[in-house]
Amino acid sequence: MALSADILRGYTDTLILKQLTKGDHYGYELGKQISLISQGGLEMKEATLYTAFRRLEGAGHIRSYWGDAQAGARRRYYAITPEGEERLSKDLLNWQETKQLLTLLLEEETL
Amino acid sequence: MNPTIVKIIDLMFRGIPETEETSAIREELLTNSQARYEDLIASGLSPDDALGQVLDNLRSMENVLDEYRSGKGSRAADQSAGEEGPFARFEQMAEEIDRKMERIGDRVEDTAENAFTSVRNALDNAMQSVRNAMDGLGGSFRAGSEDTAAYTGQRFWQENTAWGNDDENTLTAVFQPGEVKRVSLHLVGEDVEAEPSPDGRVHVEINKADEPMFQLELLDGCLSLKRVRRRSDEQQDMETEELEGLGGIFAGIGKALRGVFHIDRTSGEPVRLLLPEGMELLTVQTTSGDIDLTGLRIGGLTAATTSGDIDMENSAVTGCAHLTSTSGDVEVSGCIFSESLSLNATSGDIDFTGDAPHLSANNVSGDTDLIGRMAQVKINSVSGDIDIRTETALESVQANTTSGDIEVVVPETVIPCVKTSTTCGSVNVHCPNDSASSVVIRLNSVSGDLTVTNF
Repeated sequence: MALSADILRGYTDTLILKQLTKGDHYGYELGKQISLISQGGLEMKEATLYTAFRRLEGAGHIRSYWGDAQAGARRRYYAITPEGEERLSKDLLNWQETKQLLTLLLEEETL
Repeated sequence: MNPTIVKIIDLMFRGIPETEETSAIREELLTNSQARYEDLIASGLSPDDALGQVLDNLRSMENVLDEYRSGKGSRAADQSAGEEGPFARFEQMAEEIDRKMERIGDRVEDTAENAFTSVRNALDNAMQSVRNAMDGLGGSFRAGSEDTAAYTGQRFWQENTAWGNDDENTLTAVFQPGEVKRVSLHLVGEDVEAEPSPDGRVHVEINKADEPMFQLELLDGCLSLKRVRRRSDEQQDMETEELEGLGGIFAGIGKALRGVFHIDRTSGEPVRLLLPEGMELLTVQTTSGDIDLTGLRIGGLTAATTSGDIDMENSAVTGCAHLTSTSGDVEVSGCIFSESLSLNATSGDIDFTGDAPHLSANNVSGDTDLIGRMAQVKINSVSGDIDIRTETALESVQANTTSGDIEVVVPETVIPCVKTSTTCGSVNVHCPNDSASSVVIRLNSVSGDLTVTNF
């Protein structure tokens, strides 16, 4: 599991960008979707999401805006930017290559 | 917004300078945590368990927030921060939250007390003129309408000089036992003392100086003593309602004014009740007064005070009993309850010794101690500790806390089925545990320790 946790961590930003292509989300909602799609295999902690959002926003890959106040507090929604879409398609290519490479290297070894 | 979540997040942000950035983080954490909480509740989790998970999730943010606390400015950590802190850190956090909660509680009480004292002092002069005006009104006891058979004070007190009027400061009303079945007191700042009657009759005693402010009525066997609302009260109410209409801090001032006026108006002497055995029901309500009940034998009991203490000793209640104090203590010693008993406090302590087959207790930050013969016990507390020591009659215990510890002591002859659930508290069961036992002890906490022992 240690290896997969490391790999997953490297893809935190990509996973978030991917979810945001389906629509704008606020933090908890996005984390929940990732958890549901991964069937509970990946739970992103508040801090993981938070630091990733800041990183992505700083790089201009996402932008955030505030929703309407609910009982005194507002939700912060995130949306993907055109730069983010570009970054995501690069990441996806990168992932395809990585996947092929790892498959070649690891599955060859066990044959 | 769940108040506990707000409190936890407020605690996490203590010592962090408020900037646009930090208040944005705070708001985001609040709405995320609230959404998580609602989701968990919807999935069937108990509020305590849901809070535990919310708390767990928030812990990962501590490292991020430390960046802002140390004054390093607005840089959040580059690496994904605090993915998996050591477990020790969780416990440290829980303890810290406990400590902070206690400190906050103390501070709130201090501030409230100071504010109250200064408002009181500021209004002393005004009070004096109100008193002068009232003296002018003379001592006529307010007459009720004819059909309610109300007594006018002067006539009533004079006709009842047979007992207890030797004290020049006290006015006493006496009733034959058949006349009165229920007694009900609706007071404001007065203390109440109730004791057994020496002569089988019902006695109500008040201080002479307080006479204009009370109304005594006997209607269908129900004797009621109420604080009368006078014209100046009504004006006062209008003013305070206006203030409350402005909302926020003005509402607070309005409430404080109302409290001060009412409290200052009586002599401060308690209202005394002497009750024969077998009254059907005793109801006592006061805002800031204490309630002392000693040696009573009554059918049912409701006693409530907002800031006073409730003290009940050596009494027996054959029906249901409810005792409630918001900021005072509720202490019951050596009493026997035959039906359900509920004890409620918020910041005060609850202490019980005696017999009660169905006992329920609710507290927030005060401690709850129960000792005696109890069959079914249900207790909820947030940060207060719960201690229960039972005898052989025990059937079930259900106790829940957030950060308070729970300790249950059962007799050696009882082998219970102990079920515990805690997020990060420790569990210590030092007695035989039989999952098939009919005596079920269920203890739940978020960070509080759970202990069961026998003697």
